Amino acid sequence: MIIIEFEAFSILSHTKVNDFVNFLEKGKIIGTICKKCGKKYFPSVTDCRKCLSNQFEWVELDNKGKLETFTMISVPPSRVQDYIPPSYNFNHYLIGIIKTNEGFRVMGWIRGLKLEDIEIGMDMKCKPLIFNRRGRKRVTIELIPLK
Amino acid sequence: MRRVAIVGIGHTKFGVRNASLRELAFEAAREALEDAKLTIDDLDSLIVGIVSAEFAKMVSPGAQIAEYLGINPKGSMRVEAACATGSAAIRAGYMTIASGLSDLVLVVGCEKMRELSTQEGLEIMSKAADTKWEYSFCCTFAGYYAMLANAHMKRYGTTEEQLAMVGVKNHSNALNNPYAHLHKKINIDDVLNSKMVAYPLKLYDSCPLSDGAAAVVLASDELANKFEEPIWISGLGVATDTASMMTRESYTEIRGATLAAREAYKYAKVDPSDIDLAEVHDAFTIGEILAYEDLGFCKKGKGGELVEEGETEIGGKIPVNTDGGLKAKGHPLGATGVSQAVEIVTQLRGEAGKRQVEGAEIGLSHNVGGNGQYIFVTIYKR
Repeated sequence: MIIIEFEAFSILSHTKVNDFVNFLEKGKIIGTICKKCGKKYFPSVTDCRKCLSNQFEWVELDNKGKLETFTMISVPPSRVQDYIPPSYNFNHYLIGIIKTNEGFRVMGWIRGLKLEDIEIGMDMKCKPLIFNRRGRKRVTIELIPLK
Repeated sequence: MRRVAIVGIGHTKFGVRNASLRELAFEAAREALEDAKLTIDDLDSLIVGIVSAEFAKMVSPGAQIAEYLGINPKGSMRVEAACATGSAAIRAGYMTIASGLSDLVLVVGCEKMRELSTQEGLEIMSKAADTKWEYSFCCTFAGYYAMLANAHMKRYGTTEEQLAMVGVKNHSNALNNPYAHLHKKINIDDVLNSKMVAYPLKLYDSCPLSDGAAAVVLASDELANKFEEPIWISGLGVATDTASMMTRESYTEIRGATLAAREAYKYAKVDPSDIDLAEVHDAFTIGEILAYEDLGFCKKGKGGELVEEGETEIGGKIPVNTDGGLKAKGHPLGATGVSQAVEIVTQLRGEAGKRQVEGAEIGLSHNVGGNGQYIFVTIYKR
């Protein structure tokens, strides 16, 4: 069931995994697991590359992990106007990828850290964020340091 | 399979050009045909490499180029593999001849990037990454390479100064290449003090957006031997990886490059130590350091030291990007792989003037599409 459109997260709106954004709105980051062979996927897929099955279930991710890499974008693309969450600086924003304890990698906006405070390998968690930008509802993922 | 050689090369000036896509393609094609002492009528078919027709405000640009070149009604098609498009086009040309479908093929790589603003250009290029899952985090290609740089610096101790040295070297080489977009000598401080683009990459760690085209004429072995100095395509390797950064295994190498290189070396029956010069994908300076390692010019993690020791300068153990690389020569996306081939042929013929690598017999090109989703490694021999 479509509660919010995938377009709230992405440039695309048509997808078989629209529930990904519905779960984000409920505060959950989810992947998929193949019902036939058990392979787990993040980002979510409806089609298993290993056994070709299209039978899948949603599975919530362990949201804790370690920072794998990051950057601070200082020359942003123009779409930043549409996608940047409130409280982030348009001209210098940090984004990164964490590797969760289960071994999935999750990209997100890095919250609450300055460039000089960031260290690859630091403990972080990923968390959904819901906000409004230019009159549109957006859902995204933030990476937050674990104290 | 038949052997395939390059018998003609052509290259436009790269930069901001008051010329349309088809006019750029013609400039490069004319030079390649004149170099080979051929005419359009001699050709059997055409392969056109272009990354995004959106840059040139069109769809199906190959047909418009084929018409302007006067190739009709002979066969033509467009090839695309993101920033490795030029090398993919050469591979397609190679396959066309090796299979016996054609004897003489013109390969033109081109891109018109400066019709649009920088912002518009960055937007188009962003869509070469994972548009479904990663687009909304507003990363740029500089950002993706910056993520690789930060991971490499953390794991191996590579420094911002070493990244800067790549830019300094390539700017210096470009001074001797009349086709290069940027003719400006820079030093390490210029790089370190230039505007931050995506930490740790700065303006002078990044290639410019350029218009340009490059062309090669490929011939089958029986025809090629009638030319003065055919340069043989003696090894090809191709590999792929995910467009999505979230599903990558490693951020300290471009895995596909390691695999493609292995395949190309095996095909050509050579080792990394046999390579006399290399053209590598330095859209961002970290890309060149990763290339040294992935191609086996040094051990993993030692790329920063290799440039610091001067081994990749002309006169060093393995000269890299003698024409200025993408960094200073420019990177008109679809042209780049073909431009790399043009430089290697120029070097192997001994016609590179002040940037000549003495006695060069074997050259290698390394062309990366997107942030590592396509990698083509090609080996050329005299």
